[in-house]
Order: sequence, then C-alpha cells, then structure tokens
Amino acid sequence: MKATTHAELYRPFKGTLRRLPLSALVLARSGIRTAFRSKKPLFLYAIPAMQMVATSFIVNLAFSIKSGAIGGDIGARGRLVGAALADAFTNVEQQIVMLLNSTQFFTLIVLAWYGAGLIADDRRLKAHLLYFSRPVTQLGYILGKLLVVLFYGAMAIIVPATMVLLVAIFSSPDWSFLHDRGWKIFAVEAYAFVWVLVHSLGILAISSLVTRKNHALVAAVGLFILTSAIAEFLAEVLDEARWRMLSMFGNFDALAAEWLGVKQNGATWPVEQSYAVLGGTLLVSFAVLLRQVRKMEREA
Amino acid sequence: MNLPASHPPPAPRPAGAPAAAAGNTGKTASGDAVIRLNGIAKRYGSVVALADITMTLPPGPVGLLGPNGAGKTTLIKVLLGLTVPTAGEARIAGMSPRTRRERLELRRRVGYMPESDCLIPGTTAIELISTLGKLVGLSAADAITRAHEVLDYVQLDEARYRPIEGFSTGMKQRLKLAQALVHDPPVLLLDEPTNGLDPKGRRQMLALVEDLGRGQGKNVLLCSHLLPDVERTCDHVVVLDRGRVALQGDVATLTRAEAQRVVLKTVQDGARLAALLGAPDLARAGWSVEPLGRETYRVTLPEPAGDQAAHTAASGAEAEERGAGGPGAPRSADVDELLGLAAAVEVLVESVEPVRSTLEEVFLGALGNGGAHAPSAVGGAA
Amino acid sequence: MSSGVHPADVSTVIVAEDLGRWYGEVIGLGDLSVTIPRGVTGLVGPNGAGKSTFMKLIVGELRPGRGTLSVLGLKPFANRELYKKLGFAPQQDALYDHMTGRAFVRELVRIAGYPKADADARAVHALERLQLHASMDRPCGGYSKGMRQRVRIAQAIAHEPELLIADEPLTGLDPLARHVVLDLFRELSAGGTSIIVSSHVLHELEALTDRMVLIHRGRLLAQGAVRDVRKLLSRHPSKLHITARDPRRLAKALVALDYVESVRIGSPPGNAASPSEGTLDIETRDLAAFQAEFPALAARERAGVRSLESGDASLEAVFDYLVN
Repeated sequence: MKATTHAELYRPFKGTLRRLPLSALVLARSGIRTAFRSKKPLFLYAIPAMQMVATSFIVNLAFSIKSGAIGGDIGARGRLVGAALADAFTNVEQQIVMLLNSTQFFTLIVLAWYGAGLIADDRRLKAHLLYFSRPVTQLGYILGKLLVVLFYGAMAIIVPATMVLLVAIFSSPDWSFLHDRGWKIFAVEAYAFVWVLVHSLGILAISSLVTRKNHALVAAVGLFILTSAIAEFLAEVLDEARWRMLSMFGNFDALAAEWLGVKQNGATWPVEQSYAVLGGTLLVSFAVLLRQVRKMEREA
Repeated sequence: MNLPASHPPPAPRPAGAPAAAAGNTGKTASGDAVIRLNGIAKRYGSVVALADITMTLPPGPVGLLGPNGAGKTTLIKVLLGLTVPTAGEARIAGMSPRTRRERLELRRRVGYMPESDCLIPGTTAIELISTLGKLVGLSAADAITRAHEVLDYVQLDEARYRPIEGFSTGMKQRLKLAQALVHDPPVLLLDEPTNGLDPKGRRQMLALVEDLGRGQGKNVLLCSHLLPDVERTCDHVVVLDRGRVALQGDVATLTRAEAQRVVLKTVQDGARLAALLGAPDLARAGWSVEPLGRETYRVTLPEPAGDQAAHTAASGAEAEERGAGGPGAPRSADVDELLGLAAAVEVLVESVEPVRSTLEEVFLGALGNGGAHAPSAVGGAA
Repeated sequence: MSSGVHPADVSTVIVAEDLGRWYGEVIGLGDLSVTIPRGVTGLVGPNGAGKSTFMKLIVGELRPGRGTLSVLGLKPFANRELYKKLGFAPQQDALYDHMTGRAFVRELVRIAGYPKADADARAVHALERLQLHASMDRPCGGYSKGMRQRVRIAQAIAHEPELLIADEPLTGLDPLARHVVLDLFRELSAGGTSIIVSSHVLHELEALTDRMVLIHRGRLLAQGAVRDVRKLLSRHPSKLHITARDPRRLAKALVALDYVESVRIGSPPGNAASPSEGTLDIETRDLAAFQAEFPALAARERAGVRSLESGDASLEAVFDYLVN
C-alpha cells in the first residue's frame, strides 16, 4: 500500500451543482421542519381533530341507519325519525361545511401561528440574505413560504375533509356515495383548498409587511375578526346581507352554496361577486408579497 | 492550491508579526482575474451609490475598505448579482450581472457571509447548512456531506446538532462562514466577519479567513472596519470613497518599511541614548532622533556610504538593490550600529522596528487626498 | 491598586469589594474586588466575563447581589446625585427612531437636571464633537449603525461627567469614526475626565491607555499596566522576533546564552522580495538579561539586524496567556 496522508482541513467539493434546484420545495421542507420543532401550537389541532372524529362518526352512523344495518326494534316512528335524521346526516357536503365552519377560527389561528413569522422573522434578522445570495428567485421564495403555510393549513382543513369523505365512501352501501355524488368529492376538496389558499396568502402578505412575528399574528387574527364583526354588524343593522361580502367567511358561505349546495346564513348576492372578492384578495395579497419580496432582494 | 497531501493547520501568528506579503506580483495578470469591473455605476433615483468603480482584483485575499456610505454595500450587491449596475461592464467569476440568467448563475459561484445576524432560530446548524447547500444545487447526499465537512472546517463540533439559538457570537459567526462555503465557491464575500467577537473568537475567525485566502486560494473579498484584521489576512486592498476607488494596491507595497528610519523603544534611560545620537559628531554623520513619547524615539539612520558596504558578504547585492530600487524596492537598513551605540551607553533596548505606515494611515491618507497614493500604489491593477 | 484604599480617596473612582450579581441562576458577576484610580482604564475580558454587568452596576442600573460598590465615593444604585457625575454609553442600541439625534441627547441632558436651553446647547456641542452635526436634526431611524453608536456616546458626554463609562464604544464604527471617538476620549482624559472603557479590539484599547482591568468568569483576573502584568507571567518565557540579514550567524551567538531557551530560524513572509533576509524567533527566561546583552551582541556579530520586536508583550498576548 502506498502511504498517503489526507490531513487537509478544507476539502474542495468535487461533485457538480444541479442546474435546477427546486428551491421552493427545499425552502418549504426546511420551513415545515423548523415550524414542527415548536410543539406547542400543535394543540390547536385538537379542535379540528375532535370535530373530524365526531363528524366521521355521525356520517358513519347515518349511513349505517340508512342502509338498515342498525335499526332493530326502535319502532316505526323511531324508524321514521331515524330515516329523516339519516337523510340529513348523509348529506356529507353539509356535514363537512359545518365541520369547517365550526373549526375555521381555530384553523385561522393555526395558519396565522405558522405563517406570521415566516417572512417577518426573515426581515427582522435579514435571513433572506442567505437565500437571495443563492439562486433563489422571488417567486421561488414566495412559493416556498406559501407551501409551509399551506401544509399546516391542509392539516387543519383538507385532511379532516378528506377523512370524512373517505368515511362516507366506505360506509355508504354499495359505494353509492362514490356513484351518486362522486363529483362532490372534488368540489369539497376544491372548496377546502381555496379556503386555505386565500387565508395563507393573506397571512403571508401581512407577514411580509412587518418585522415582528407577533405583530403579524395580531394583525392577521385582528383583521379577520374585525372584518367579520363589521360585516355581520352592518348586515344586521342595515338589513342588507351583501355587507357580509366584507368578511371572508361570508364569501365562503356563498362559495359553499354554489359549489356544494349548502345554503346557510343567506348569502343572497350572486356568487360571481364573491368570486371577485376572493380573487381580488388573492391578487392583492400576491401583489403585496411580490412587492415586499422584490424589495427584500434589492435591499440585501 | 489544494494540497493533495498533508496540509498544516492555519497556525495563528503571534500578535505584532508583520502581515505576510505573499509574492503575488506574479499572479496579477488580468487574464486570471476573477473580478473585473470597468466603470461600474449605480444610481437610485438621484442618489449615486457607485459613481465609477474600475478595478481588477488579483486572485487571493483582498480587503475592501471604505467609510460608511462609500458604496461597499452596493458593490457587494453587484458582485452577488442582486442588483443591475446602471452603467459599466463587470465580469465576476466569468459572469456578467447584465442578464437575469447570468446573475442567478453568478450566485452559485459566490459565497456570501452577511454582516447581519441572519440566523433564524429553530433549526440546527447541520440542517441549516445542508438546506442552504441544496438551494445552490447540491444533491441531498452531497448537501449533508458538504455540510459536515464545512462544519468540521469551522470547528463546530457537537454543537452542529443543537438549535442555533443557543450559540455564542463566535459560533454564530463561524456558522455564517460555513454556509458561505458549503458549495465551495471560488469567490467569497465576507462582510465584517469579526464583528462582536472577543479576542479568542476573533483570532479563530481570522485564522480561517487567512487559510481560505492564502491556503485554499479562494478569492476572498473581506470587508472590515478593523484594518489590522485586513492587514493580517489580505494581500491586496481596495479603498472606496464616495462611490469611487480611492486607492488600490498590495498591502506589502502600501505598508512597506522605510529604508532609513526606525522606531526605537527603550526599557529605560532612553534619554541617554537620544542625547548621544543628537550629539554634533553623530548628527554630522547623518543621525538624528526625535522623541515620540514615553521611552519611544524615531531615529534616522545615516545613509550608508559606499565604503561602508564592504562590511558584509551580502553588500554587493544590497548595494545593487539600493541602486536599482527607487521607490519600487527600498530596503530597510540594518541597525547593528544603533544597537552598538545603545550598548556603549548601556541602554536596554525593548524593540526597534523600521518605520512602516500602517494600513490605517494608508486608509486615512487615501480618504484625505484620493490621488496622493494612487500613482505609486496601483500595483495590482492591470 | 490595592483594595485597601478608602472609598472617599480622591485618587480613586471605583472601589468594589466582593461585588456580585446574578440573573436567576445565571451569573453576571461573581465576586469582584477591584479599585480603579482616576484616569483612563481599559476593561477587558472574553464574552460573558461580566464586563457589561459590572458597568451596569457602576452606573446604578443594577443593584448589587452581594458586596459593596462605591463610585466617586457614592453608592450608585438609584442614586440621583451620581447621575450628574456619570456618563454611560451602553452597548445596547436604544434610541427612539422618531426622535432626532439632537432631541434625544437634549432630553437626556434635561433628565440630568439642566434647563432646556442649556441642555440644547450641550447636546449640540456633544454631537459636534462626534461629528454628527450634519445629521443631528434628522430622526435617528435613518442613522447608520456607526452614527447610532456615536449618538450613544454623545449623550454620555453632553453633561460633562466626571466619570465616563463606555461599553464597547468602538463596535460598528468605521475607521474614520474610530479615530474621532479615540481622539475625543484622549481630549476628555486630558481635561480631567476619568474613563472606563471596554473593548474586544485590544490594540485599540492599548493605544488609549496601558492600564487594564481584566475580568474573566465574573472575577478579577489581572490588573495594572500591561508590561507589569506580563512580567508577572513568569511561567511563559518571553518571545522575541528578530529579522536580520544573516540569521544563522546571529542564532549561533544567541544559543550560546544560557537564558535563551529556544531559537527558531525562519524565512520572512514574502521572501521572494527580499531573499537576503531571515527571521529568528527566540524564547528567553530572562528578558532583562537579554535586553541588556543583545545590543552589544548584535553590534559585535554584524549580522545585519533589521528589527527586534517583542512577540508577546502586547495586551492581546497577555490576555491570551491569562484567559486560556
């Protein structure tokens, strides 16, 4: 054997750099891991999780009653009531919308919690210098951050909705749910996704405007509560339901009515107007993000 | 540059040792210059951040100096491909910052250590470095291997598995250096790497910077307000002032020792020696002395006469050097005779050194009068 | 500097006895006994040694957890009488971004007890001394790091205190501003102000004063003039660095001296430029004997000595010997 020593302290890198690093995915993965390290906010998921279990149970029970698997000697009247209830409870879309509505405030806090610091902390510590001194584009940066919020939002909204849908699929007799209302699955998933997307992008935009996580957190939660309260107040006082368009929740009610056929709280305006509001919100959020991130790259 | 076999650790030099003047005069041919800027200007509205930056940087460690507002930050942004110059031509590691594609490519060839804190709590050192490695294009396997290698290099041992919020200032600075190295770029921009470090941390950091520049052959561009740090680690300096290059040159040339004047420190009774040197017969021979403070004197040595050169074997070469040198190659005279005079009056000598302008004096001079130093000092420019 | 000096002694500014302070279980300052005379004193130590805690105790921001502290003969904690005599430039960046530099300094001078007009004149004068007059009427929010640092120093000197405490006053300053601040400190000192200044950049401190207080792990590790402290570290042989035309000839003569412990011959950096020169690194047990003998030896050998420097008499070297 030929004697060699390899005691050099610095080793040059001999491999090659890939042309197209998927910077958004790398950023997202690292952001999700970092956020997961603080375990405290995970308790916020308790509410959606419990609601999900309860709704799954009801849907399962309703389908069982409907298919006659449960019944026995509850009497004719009981059977009648049971059937009526089962009809209501097997309206899975409605169940899911109710589930989402009852947990949306917690979901919002979850999103705000995970999203508020994502850009604000970078700005405060100038951490974006570490990214923008690498071939990370502005869009890659925004997408990477967005994926982190979307991930935690999905855990609170999309996962429960999907679970309930799965329960419905498997407990409906002869896959009837899949046969009869299969397209509703897409509608429900799309609804949940749009919900998460609009709120995530809004929170990120707020995060990009401040340099403290807590400021972003307060601003995001405050803004959503305030708009909802004002919308509700004006709608009641002026007796004009359209004021509910001021609040995200009102617009999602309209969306639920249109896409899922779930009518609630009387969204009386044409759904196109809500499309416009939601689209506008997305657009404004994105424009704010782009402007701020562009500034961050320039100001490096 | 990368030694195949044993490579000695970057031994910290004793304090006060003169900065190494690596013979880089042979390497300054513009052909292999990694950074070449020609008339680079950058304006933000009516604000001129860079007026006209023209420089060709030789390979190896270079100090980038200038008072606040001189344009250093903007220049770094140009070098990182973060901003498009308003005018001028630039070639950095083979890339021009003109097109978006080349700016992004440029960032793969440059490592940047920002001055700001920039470390987000919540991750571990190893995770941060490997993530940042992937963002430059390292594969997952390469990223984790490289991350460990650079953390070894900056001597972050078990700490690499701990969350970075518990790191000391020194550890954070070394971590920031490691992230700049993860993709092994040929160009390194280090912005105030010794900021906030205590003496031990500072020495550790400087040893790393010195090894990267001199040992590993990286094109280190060091921005620092601590001029002795630059003097120690850099072979070449560029001084910016109001968006222009006020001065550029080799450190060894700029801080060259004077030929005939020395600073003498005595332990005590220096006055006795000073009196002797000031006596008429020695003054006639060319000696003069000037007190500088407590037991410190500036002594002018007599010009060596032609016949004095017969003392030594090396005299021929030396006389030749003196004759041919001019400002390009002055030589410090020896102080044997001065020491002999000290011995004659029994004065204890603490130190004697040739008068040498510090980088600080050079810097202040360049800002006071931009043109004064430039003609003799532009050694590195092509 | 012995600890037996009476607190009221006019030649001392600070007397600390068994001084300690904790933050919960975290130690800020352990058990410090030190007497600091008038004049300029450097306060040095590694990060976390307790320098900032000591300074906060001196200015009365913190109450001692144990021991006693006397500053200009007074107990400092929450002592209004002392506020006027003390100036404190803290390390933390605590300016009000919406206030102008001038207003910020003026308000602090007023708090020290000066009427408004006088306070304004003092603020302007102090800011001028720090060469901030061009930007003193702009809000602090737009200041650079170095300017903010100088505002912190300006507010500490505006009321002409008897004792100035400056915690890392040079951090973040560019070389021009460093110059301004160091010159200002020299002026103040010449005018009779006592200064206690901490810095990590030891050579800068050395250019200001040779009297140091070194604390480490919350305790006093060394005090006094650097060269006197170096003499006490007798277990470290003194290092000397020589450049000469004929180092081997000189080395031969030097190894013959019995107090010279080692001689190493090297080539100087950049030897391509000067091939006829070499270096010697010498370690000696007896520096005084070496200093007495070397001039005659060099004159005799004619080895072309170009320079003789100490390798380890600087504050930085002494600091390393003591801290590591």
